[in-house]
Amino acid sequence: MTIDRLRSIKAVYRLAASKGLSIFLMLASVFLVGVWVIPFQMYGVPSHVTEAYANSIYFRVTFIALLFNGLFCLISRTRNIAKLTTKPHPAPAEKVRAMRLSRSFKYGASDNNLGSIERFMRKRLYRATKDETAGALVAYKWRFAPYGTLIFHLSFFVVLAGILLSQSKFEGKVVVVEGQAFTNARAQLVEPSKKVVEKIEESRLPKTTFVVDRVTPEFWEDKLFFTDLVADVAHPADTLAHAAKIRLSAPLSLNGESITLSGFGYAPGYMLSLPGGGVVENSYVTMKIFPSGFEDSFELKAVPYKVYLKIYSDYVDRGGEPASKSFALKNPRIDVKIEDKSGKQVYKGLVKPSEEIKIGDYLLSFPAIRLYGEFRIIKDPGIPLIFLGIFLACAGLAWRLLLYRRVIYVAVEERDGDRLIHLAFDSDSYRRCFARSALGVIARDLPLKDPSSRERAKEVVRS
Amino acid sequence: MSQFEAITLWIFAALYGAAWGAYLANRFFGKRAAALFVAGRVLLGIGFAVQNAHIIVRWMDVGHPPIFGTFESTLAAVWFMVGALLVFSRSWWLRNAPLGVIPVVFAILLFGLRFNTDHIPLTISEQSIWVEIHVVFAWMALASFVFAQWWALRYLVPKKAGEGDYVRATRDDLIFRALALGFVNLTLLLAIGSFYEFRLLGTWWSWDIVETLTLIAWLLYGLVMHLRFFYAWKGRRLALVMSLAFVVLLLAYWSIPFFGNQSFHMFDINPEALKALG
Repeated sequence: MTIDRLRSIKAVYRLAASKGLSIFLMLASVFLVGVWVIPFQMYGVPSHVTEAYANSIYFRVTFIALLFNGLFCLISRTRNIAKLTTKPHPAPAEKVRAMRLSRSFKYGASDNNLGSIERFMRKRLYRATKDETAGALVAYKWRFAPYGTLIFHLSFFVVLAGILLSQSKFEGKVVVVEGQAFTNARAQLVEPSKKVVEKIEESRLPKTTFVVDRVTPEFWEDKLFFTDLVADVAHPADTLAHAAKIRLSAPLSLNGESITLSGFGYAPGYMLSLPGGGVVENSYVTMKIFPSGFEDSFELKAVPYKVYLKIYSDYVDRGGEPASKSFALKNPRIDVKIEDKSGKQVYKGLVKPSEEIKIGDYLLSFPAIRLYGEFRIIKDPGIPLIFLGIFLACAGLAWRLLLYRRVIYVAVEERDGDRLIHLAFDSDSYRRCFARSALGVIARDLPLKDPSSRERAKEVVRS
Repeated sequence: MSQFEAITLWIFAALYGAAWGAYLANRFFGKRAAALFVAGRVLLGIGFAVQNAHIIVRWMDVGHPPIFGTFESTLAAVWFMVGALLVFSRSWWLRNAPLGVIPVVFAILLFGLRFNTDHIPLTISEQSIWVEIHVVFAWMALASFVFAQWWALRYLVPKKAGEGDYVRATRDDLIFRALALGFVNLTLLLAIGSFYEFRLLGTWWSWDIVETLTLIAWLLYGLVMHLRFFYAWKGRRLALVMSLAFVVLLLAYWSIPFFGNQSFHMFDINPEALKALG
């Protein structure tokens, strides 16, 4: 490899690890998100369109570049960070006096080996090292806090690994009526479509099975304002060994799958029978007929009729028009309209459950109305890593910025018949704030016998 | 809002106003009127106690901590800001903070009163301890950034004669400390929000407008931290970048009601719409 080539590689690396590039990439990220996402959101562009913008190559390149710039910055600065974490040693009086944030006071304690100061520091969770011959002591805590910077920046790679793993994420929706079970993902999933589900590998499909015992919505003051929606389920479906409650805000997590109740609706049961008593069809059909007054339809299998239904859950007659007093299924009425295959209406009327309707040679009735739950099932192998990364980012940041490294140097010397104590303060960040607060505590609590020193220390704190 | 709540609201607002007046007079007359500083603190403390009574009564009436919807959000924001003032302004070197923070408290309260103050229960998506933790971090972050911005503002007005380097250096440290606290809280806010979003919607990030604005504010505050760490920026230059980040942060927090249904952070219920739901 020629020297020129080596030089150019070094130059590229220096650029990739430069502080200037970090600042530029952060500004670029702000610009991209601010200019290419926010205005569209403000104008009400649908979220999937905004997401498409945000997933475009410009965004990806900028974020990935920012990530790797962070990595290269860390590589080139890890040695400096490590230096910051080296164990501090006691310094003699002249060195402590010469430090940046140092103060000297008269010291009237009787112990010659700095024992009371050591105890004082240890009580405040500082580690202390003494050099008795030099009359010096150093107290420190959160020595390794600078590594928080490393943890914070590296955590984004853990998130990235999680995002890559999430590419094999499965998300689907299943509709299960009360009393029925979810046992077969390929057959029962309503989302994604059957065609898509068929192509998905078996290992990616959800394995959890469950039976829905009951779906219970709660409303505030009989308004369409949900205060609760809970599904009582038992799992697995074959043994029903465990009972659980699933809510919108409290999913059931099992086998690395997350199952949430995302909606509900009415599932009227219908029975098509012959006048002699033989049952032709008997089933529950999930319909979008909640709240009262909404209409949906289904087709009978044995005969070419289409049945349109509306449900009034708590029936009341309002000026000749059917209405509902509440959302509770207290006194339901079913508004039925039946058309034949040519679209000609063959029946229309308001019936009670179990009331029979004669259509052609058959009798149709709706013996029961149950509720169904819409369950969203997510199987995302990347999620544990993503949240581990996010947790590490928070922990690293808090360690570095809140529990920052702090060091107090103490030295005692005799001079002109006086015993002087020299204090110097050092920390990664907010050195002055730290020095002021630490000095305040020391001036208040240390056994300084000479009142003038204590007053002086207080003045320094106030100055 | 019940009658008790209305009365206590006006009482604590008046007490905060009186406290601000006392702090201002103390600033104007200097050391000759040290008692005014103490009076300001006492008035602020009594006001805070009244606000606590207001919050407790509302909490008991409505059945959830008053942190949902714009009006309740302003109550929570004000509580955190005044609480932080009472904790931190005891220190001699933070004595000027109430002068800047109390007007912000008033602006936020007045803004909140424009919205529905009725007692409305939580809808399902709001019923989780994670939402409450998320909100606590949100207000702690805002309180920290308001403090930082107040101190930073002093760099944006003409320099006071006789202000020594020592004072400026200490103020820089204070600004950075408040920024750091705010940044950690903002990160925790995003982290908890992301976790709850996964529980609720099955995705850990969505390009919701409030989330996006918070991300921009986070990136800008990250930029401020890097400018400080890398280039030792402080004073006027840093104050300018901080101001930009603060404006975006305020947009993220308080522009929610103007986006209507475009954000799932919209917790305000229109009373007319509520009647129509019946």
